[in-house]
Amino acid sequence: MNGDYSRPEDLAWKCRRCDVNLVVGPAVLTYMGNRITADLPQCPVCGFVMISEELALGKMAEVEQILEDK
Amino acid sequence: MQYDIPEKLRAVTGDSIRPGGLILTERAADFCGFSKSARIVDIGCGFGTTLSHLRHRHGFRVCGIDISARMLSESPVQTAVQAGAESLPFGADVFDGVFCECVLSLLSLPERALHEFHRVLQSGGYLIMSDLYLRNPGTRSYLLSSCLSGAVTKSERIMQLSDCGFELLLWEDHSGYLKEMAARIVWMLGSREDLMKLFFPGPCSACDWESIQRARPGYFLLIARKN
Repeated sequence: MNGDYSRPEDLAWKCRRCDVNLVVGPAVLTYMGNRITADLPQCPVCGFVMISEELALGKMAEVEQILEDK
Repeated sequence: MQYDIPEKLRAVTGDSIRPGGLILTERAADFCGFSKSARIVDIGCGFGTTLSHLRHRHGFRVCGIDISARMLSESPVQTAVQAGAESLPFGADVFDGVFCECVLSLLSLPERALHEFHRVLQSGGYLIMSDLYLRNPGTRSYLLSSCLSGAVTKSERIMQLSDCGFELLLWEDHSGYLKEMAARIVWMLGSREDLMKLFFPGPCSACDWESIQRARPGYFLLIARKN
């Protein structure tokens, strides 16, 4: 279930530590014991994943709320 | 009656199209301890995922029914026929096990289907059921007019089983799988509104997110035996 959550402008960013451009690749997001795999912009060297504000405050927040519901 | 599974839902859940997938199927098969030659029927077998699993993993003699000809056409198991759960095309006392996974709450006549399950099972045979249920009984009457009307409370479901001659052996709450599936769908589609549109495409006054939350939908696995 790999959705692609990268935008073209995300790939203009560089990893500050490795000084290389971000690429799109699979990342595993874990929250409250649940794992979701998604294609996200990340550093090809150190694997640091960039999550945009739009994603964090939008879909990711909604998913978190569902998982937190009693 | 005809129905089709939205491809978007299939993309999230895989071909089992239900919370927990084959994990709960396997849990139930282990609990019942069927013999290798057990005769098993899967009610609402859909794409044949459970049938294929039970045949290849356990060697059971399996068959299934579903009302969707399109889904049956994709089943890798050929012993699956188009039929409704309320009128099974089988004789009495035939099966060692009846699987009914995430199906009963979709039926318009669930009690009639339970009587049919009882009829086709041999004495001592097992009914394996997983489905939605309402964890907040106070919302039952409110939801009668909603798209969740097929889901009942734990006590109501157990009473139905008892009335049909089943002895309850196991009830397990697996609501975590329902929550996980909802989260995955929202992640895939984009928002809770998209999730609601997927499951409740028609007009439904009670189908807002808050109403659904108030009912506290859960998911259970139960195993009952024909006495």
